[in-house]
Amino acid sequence: MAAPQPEYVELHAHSAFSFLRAGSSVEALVARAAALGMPALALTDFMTLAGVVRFQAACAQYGIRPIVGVELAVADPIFGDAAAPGHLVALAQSAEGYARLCQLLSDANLARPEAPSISFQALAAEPRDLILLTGGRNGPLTRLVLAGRLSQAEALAARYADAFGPERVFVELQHHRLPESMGLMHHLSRIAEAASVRCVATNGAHYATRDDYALYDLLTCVRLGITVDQRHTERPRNDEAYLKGAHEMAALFAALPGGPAALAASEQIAARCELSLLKGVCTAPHVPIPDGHTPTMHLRALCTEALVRREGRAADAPTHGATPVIVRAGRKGLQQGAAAAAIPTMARDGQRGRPQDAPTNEARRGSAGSRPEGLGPIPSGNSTLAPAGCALASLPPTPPSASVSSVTSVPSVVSSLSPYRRQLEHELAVIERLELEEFFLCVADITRQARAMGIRCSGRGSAANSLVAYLLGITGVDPIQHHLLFERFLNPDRKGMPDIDVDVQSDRRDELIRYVEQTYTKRHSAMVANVNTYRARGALRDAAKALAYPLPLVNRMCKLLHHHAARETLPTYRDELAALIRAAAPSADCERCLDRLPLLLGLAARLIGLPRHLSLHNGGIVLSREPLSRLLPVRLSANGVRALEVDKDDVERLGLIKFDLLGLRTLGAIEEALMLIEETTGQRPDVDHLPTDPPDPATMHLIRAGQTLAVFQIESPGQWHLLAQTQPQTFDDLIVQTALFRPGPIQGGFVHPYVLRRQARQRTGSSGNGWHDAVQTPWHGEHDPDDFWTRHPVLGPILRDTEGILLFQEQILEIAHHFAGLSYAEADGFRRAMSHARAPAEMEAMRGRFVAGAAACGESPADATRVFEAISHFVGYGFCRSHAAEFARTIYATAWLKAHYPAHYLAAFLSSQPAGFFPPHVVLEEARLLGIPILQPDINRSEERFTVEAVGAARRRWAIRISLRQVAHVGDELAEAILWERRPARHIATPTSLETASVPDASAPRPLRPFVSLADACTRLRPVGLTWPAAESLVLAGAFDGLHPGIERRRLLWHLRDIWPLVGGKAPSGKRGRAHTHRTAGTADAPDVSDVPRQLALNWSIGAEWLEHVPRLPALDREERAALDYALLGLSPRPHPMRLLRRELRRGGVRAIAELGGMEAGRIVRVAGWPISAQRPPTAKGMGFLVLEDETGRLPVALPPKIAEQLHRVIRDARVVVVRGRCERVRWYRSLLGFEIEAAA
Amino acid sequence: MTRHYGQPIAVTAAKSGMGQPAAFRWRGVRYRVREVLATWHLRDRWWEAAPPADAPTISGASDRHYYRLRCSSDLLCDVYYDATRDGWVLDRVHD
Repeated sequence: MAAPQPEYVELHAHSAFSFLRAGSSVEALVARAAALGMPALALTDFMTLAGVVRFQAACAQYGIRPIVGVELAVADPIFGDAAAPGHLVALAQSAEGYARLCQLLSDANLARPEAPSISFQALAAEPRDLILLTGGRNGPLTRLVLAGRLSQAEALAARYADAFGPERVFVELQHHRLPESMGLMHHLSRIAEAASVRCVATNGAHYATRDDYALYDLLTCVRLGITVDQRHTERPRNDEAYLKGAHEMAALFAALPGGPAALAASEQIAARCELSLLKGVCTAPHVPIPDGHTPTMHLRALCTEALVRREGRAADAPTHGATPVIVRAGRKGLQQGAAAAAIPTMARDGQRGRPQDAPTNEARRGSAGSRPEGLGPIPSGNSTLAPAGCALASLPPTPPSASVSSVTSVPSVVSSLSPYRRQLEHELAVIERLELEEFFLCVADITRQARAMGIRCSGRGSAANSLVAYLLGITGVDPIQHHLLFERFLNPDRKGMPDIDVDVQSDRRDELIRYVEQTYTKRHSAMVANVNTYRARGALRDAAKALAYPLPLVNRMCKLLHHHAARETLPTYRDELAALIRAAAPSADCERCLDRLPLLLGLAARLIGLPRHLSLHNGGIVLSREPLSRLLPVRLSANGVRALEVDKDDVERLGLIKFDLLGLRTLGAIEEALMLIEETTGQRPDVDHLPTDPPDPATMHLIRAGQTLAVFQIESPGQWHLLAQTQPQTFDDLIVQTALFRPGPIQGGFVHPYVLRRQARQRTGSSGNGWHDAVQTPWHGEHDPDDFWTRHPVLGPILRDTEGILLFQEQILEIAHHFAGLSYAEADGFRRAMSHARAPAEMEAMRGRFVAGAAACGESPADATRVFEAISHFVGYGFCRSHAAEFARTIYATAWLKAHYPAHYLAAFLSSQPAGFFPPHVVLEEARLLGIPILQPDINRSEERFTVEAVGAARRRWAIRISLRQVAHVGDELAEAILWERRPARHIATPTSLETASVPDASAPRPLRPFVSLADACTRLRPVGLTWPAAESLVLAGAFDGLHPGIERRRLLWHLRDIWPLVGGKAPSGKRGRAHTHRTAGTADAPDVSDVPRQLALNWSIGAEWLEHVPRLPALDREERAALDYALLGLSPRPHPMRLLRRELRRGGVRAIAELGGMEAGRIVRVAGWPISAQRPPTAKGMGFLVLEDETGRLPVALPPKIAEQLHRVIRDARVVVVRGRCERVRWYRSLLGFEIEAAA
Repeated sequence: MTRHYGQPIAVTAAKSGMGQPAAFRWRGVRYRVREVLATWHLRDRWWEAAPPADAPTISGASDRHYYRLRCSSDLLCDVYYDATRDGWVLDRVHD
């Protein structure tokens, strides 16, 4: 007869979410527990519940019961106030207990963010629904026993029992097979007996298996900041803290009296804990609404008001020519005609079958024919039309009665309403049914406030499918005009909360977050965290430091790794790292470092993917009616923002209401460009109301010509290539362009067929006929000899505006609706299921449903199967059309600015760095290639940010002036101080140091005081923060050239060193101070300044005289100047440095990039340039992509996999790269297919 | 009084490499294990390679399973199985 199965559940286990205190992931722990046959497992991470959502999900996957707890740092002064807090484990018995844990952790995190701990009084204040375990080696009870203070330990156990009740306290027994383990357990058992509490066996697991022990010890060293060679009491002494099964634990505890009972207690405790976090329903916070209104009424009133206003504006607007509308007419297919008025009601949720009477959606399809005339987009940013915010906000409030009456009258006449009114009614009904009114009102309030504060914002994502979101000003794309489908965003069958993302200009996003915190209170709002997991470089860095590699060597080793090196590729770096160690490691360390290299690579690879720490998400905000601190712990980020402990995925799993305020630098660049334009021309273009039908010719020309560097989303070399092929003509083409160049369509193989079809249509000039014979079908290269897709009466119109290619997710919904007769809600469910479910049985079920629906609509089974197969291939690759439409607006605005105000836009774009695809020096080179003069930094002319200045004889050209902040060591504060010193005070913020009586009247403008010399600048700026490195950088970057024309920079630097002590600066070291003078400090004939009277030093007019004493020094040559520019500015106001190499390159037969312009495809050439971009995207099957830049232009280079393997190593060490390859061309686009790549000698 | 030896011994009756010793031979005398008084496990220097069998016991990685034994002839001693070297060592003798 087999021995009975011992009873054991691990109630004290740490995952990697304990952050550097455990060696296994949550999933690994749960998988191990399941493999050991445990019926339940408790996760008790140290002072966090960050892993709890994933833990519950993993437990659900493996079929074991999750128990939620936390190891708390409890400050109980039994060891004196200075002692480290003891660790106690608290398990949540119920949702109430969980809320209590969240509250305790939140209080601790907010009170002492640097080292959170809680008092025992706070823990014991509400012990209901909590079970207390006395902890492991760091538990107060164990520490007292180990210290020999047994009577105090007994008193403490009694205190726990008094506070929690004896049935809620368990003395924890851990047998880690240490010399003292048995003795310790005997003492603890006796103490428990004395206090009338029970014991429970745990193993205090810190990793899943014995194999993870080394990783755990390494992470402990990382946390403690020591190397593995150093001893520390917190390091483990053996590898026994892994997750052990019941048999192993039974064997360990067999010799202990009461051991079996302690094991059994674990399962009994587990049975008392019942909690599930994954089924909660959360609601939006209360939103201020007018008296007498419900949220439903208020939402309806706001939308109706906005619609009425827009309809009124439409009536006043000039009428465009009526565009035909495609209308479905039963089985006879689609007919063209201006029959919008005859469109019957659209089939909606719950209405099944082929929508014979519901072709409203077709009315929205096709060209702009369905667009209500004169309806322009709602502004989503600042404009001259609405200077104080959006038009909605500036309107007088509508009396509640009027709004209500207008609302109540609408549903009764739905069928006779305009498409806008019908759609509004439909959406409001769905929102009301899902009780999301306050969610919409809440997001609308925040976006409205953003505009009121002058913060540019723009909704994105599937929310742009909603007319309600559009009317509330959350999004800026008219969903009716652009044939967007509300059901893609929201429908009654959808599980989970809708997702609304709003892009906000990055530099002012914090202001908006503060508004949210103030309006909805900090108790009900918090940011979302990011779980930062180890990536290759970070893993190598931490592991190498712990393995005692010298820090300078660690830095160099990390640079060897590719940024996105995968776990599997780490071993391939072994030889290269070994060579580096031999070359760079100190001789004393070399052998040890080489010996440890295999171990280092192995450990670093295992670290990749483990959580390391939490940081702040870049935009996710959670709002809740219930105080958040009861739902999840809240903590303070490094910059003082309240954030939840979980990331956005976990927030969604919990069903919390989240929306994203995503910082988008491009929006900041747009706003700054508009300000620059207004400042310099007196006019402010209204980029929110740019005409798109027809679009601006100059803007579209710029896009078609690929001059899109610094244009949002379409500035990459891949987009240049695609633009050359597709030649967008309309705004809708831009929407397609945005969606087309994405990993999905590229991987799905849709791009090439789209291009072929579009080119064929452009060649024939046809609107749809004649092109389909020459190309493939949209899906997977299947030929379409019978024109099935294009001629089908249902499918053809749905795919018409994407050249017959299935590109948008909304198109799946339309096919499922029109072809297979599903309601839109069912269609979205179908799309989602197809995206996720790939089990054969599920796929067959969906196929049956789809085919049956299509058959009911009169389609043949063969056709239905064919369409289903096509969708099943496509569904993972589609892009959301509404998202693309929102992006297209920003693309259009930025392209318009670049086309009409290139200097202003590029200056603003440079100030908004880092933004876009290329680094700042490439953006500046783009300006130069466009003929815009570049002006070097100037202490009297440069501003904090890049600016434009009128230049030329007639002052009709705009030049870009490099900003002060661009100069190395000149930060924001010093730049502000420089402006303060030279400008009237009203232009700049008042520095704190000057908010004193020394400024008699802060509101009065100070006189304009330009700097007159280097000495003057140093004298005035030194007290407000001018440092030696900053002064040196300003001199060498040319910021004082304007004050001392004809004086070479080396002499100015010499002069700076002489005057620096006179302004109170510490004399720089000789090497540094003379770094660019080719002389040694102290050997010059500079005057002795030691006797200079103080008042003379403070007389800033002394500078010019002193310059005469500076010896004549050799001028900086061109190479030195260029090197200094890039070292100090990161860019250069001078012509491209490749010019300096041109003569040499020509002798070597290397061509300039511009020479390829007139070259035929197929020529083999050698081209040299700076590598300004290098990529090996995972979707490119090993291909590498490089962009070279010289003084004549930029050249994309494609590298086959074998050559691409060398790419990272070549460009890492080389400033100039030479590529030999074959010239390829598409219209204006030139590229190279590289055969060889090498660093220029 | 405790005396450190650190001498390899031949354990003859262990069930397996990590099983409890039943008897061992030291200095030509065979000792039978009468009682295992305590066991513990210490692991250290996992980041170093396992030393060769004849290297000093303080160097290199170690993974030791200790047993405090009461043996025949009233010998009270600590022995350990070193998993990294796959061998037994008499660590200490308690007088």
